[in-house]
Amino acid sequence: MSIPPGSETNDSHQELADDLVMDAILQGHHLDRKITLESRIQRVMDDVNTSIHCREDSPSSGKTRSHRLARQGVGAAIAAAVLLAAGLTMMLVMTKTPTATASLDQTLRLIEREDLTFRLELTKEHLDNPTKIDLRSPRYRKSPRRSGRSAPPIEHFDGAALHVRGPKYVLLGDRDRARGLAKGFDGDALWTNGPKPPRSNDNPEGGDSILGDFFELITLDLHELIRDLREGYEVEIMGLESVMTDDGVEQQFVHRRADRLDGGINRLPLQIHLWTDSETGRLEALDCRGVRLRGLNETYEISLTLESDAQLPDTWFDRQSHLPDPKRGNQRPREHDGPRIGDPFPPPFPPFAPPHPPQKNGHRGRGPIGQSR
Amino acid sequence: MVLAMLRSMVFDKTAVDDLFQETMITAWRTLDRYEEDRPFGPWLRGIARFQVLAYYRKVKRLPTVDHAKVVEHIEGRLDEIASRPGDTWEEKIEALDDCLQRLPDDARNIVALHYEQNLTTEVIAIRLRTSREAIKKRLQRARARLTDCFERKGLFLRVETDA
Repeated sequence: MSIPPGSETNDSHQELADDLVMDAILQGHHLDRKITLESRIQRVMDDVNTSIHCREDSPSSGKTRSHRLARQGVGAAIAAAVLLAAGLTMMLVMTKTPTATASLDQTLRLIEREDLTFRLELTKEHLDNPTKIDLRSPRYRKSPRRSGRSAPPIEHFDGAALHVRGPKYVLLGDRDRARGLAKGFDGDALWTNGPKPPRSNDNPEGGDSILGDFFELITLDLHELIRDLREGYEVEIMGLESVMTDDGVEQQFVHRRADRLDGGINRLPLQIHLWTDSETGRLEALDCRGVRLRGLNETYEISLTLESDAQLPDTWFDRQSHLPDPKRGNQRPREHDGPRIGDPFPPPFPPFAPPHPPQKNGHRGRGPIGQSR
Repeated sequence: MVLAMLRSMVFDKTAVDDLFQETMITAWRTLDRYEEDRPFGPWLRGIARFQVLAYYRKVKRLPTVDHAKVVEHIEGRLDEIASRPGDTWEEKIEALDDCLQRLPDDARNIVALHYEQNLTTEVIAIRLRTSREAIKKRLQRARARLTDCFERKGLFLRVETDA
């Protein structure tokens, strides 16, 4: 392979590629490749045969039958040959372990490959004094009975959990306030459990739009947001921020700040702060600042902090996994109740939770706080 | 290589499997449009790219990152392995076992736990009473040592850098 000596970027690409290849080689070294390949070949061949039978059964296929039958052997052979080659390649390129590159590319890649659970925090911004939302304020103290089926205000999602697996996601409302509201995308369709946003034609900029904007922002594919960083923002690396874990291992986070280039034409955040693991490139925390929602004068800061990368059950992103308990109706779950099937607020984290995620300043909140370099 | 390309563009493993199958089926169905004087690989990858675009339209998401440089490097490494003598993959990378033996004991142990016993880094960290990050770093270093070993044995061409 001719790889010219070059920039640091080129070197990091090479390092990343080497790490991915070696990871794949080691994985493939211990896999039962024969069974895997035969299974894949059989899948394609079954479909090819089904396709042929369907064409033969069709009255309009008479003129071309001999041609297609003659082609079956060639096509199947090509498919099988390509499949064999691709199967081997697939085992080489299968990756799951992060690498030394801390680029946004790697961050994006890991978002796709890992189950990530973020805690969502919502802060109403004042000019120089961002404050947490005061939920005791009368403005936010709506009676569930009087509010009927109205959607909860966005403030009720402060503290919500956002689970992400590639394009799939589940947003679970906070245990105390969102009362069973869950919203997700299972890979095929969007779904919502809990109160539905009210339909209103005379208030196009009202709460419905606010909630819509909010959901649009926090549940958008994280890929899109990070891609936007490179397309619509000026990104600056603020430095490395170090954390010493309880195990005595120093962890470093790359802190990036992105400022919008267009000054805020659409509803994307005015500024985004991003913390990624310097070794793995994994997204650890994300702050979206200057978020303006339709119909609201104030701006918000929306923060996502990684709480766990433990694997979630495959059904976790299905609507049925988060149905409210019908026995309770709108009653909020009681704290002393244990988790149950369909509980909208099951404990989201399997046993092996990573250390505390970094706070907004990039620190994990334990151990000596490191120096920003 | 088609599957590699799919994986570089779509990271949902289940979706990759489905897209790969759809690519093969589509290739079979449209084989009469294939011009024999043109290379087969790019034609097939073109079909795969179309499948990927259709997938993103279906899930209503923008296509993910384009990291063509990394894929280019991976393809280069695979080409180097493919050019080695031997009929099978195992023969071409038979040096791997020797390289594994040359790893320091702790590195070899972690590699065995992770790749042979298929333990997650979390479980290994608990067993060895350290952090997951430390385990991941050790695994990464072990892979770098193996890459270096491959270069010394000629499986990989040594890459010259400015550093």
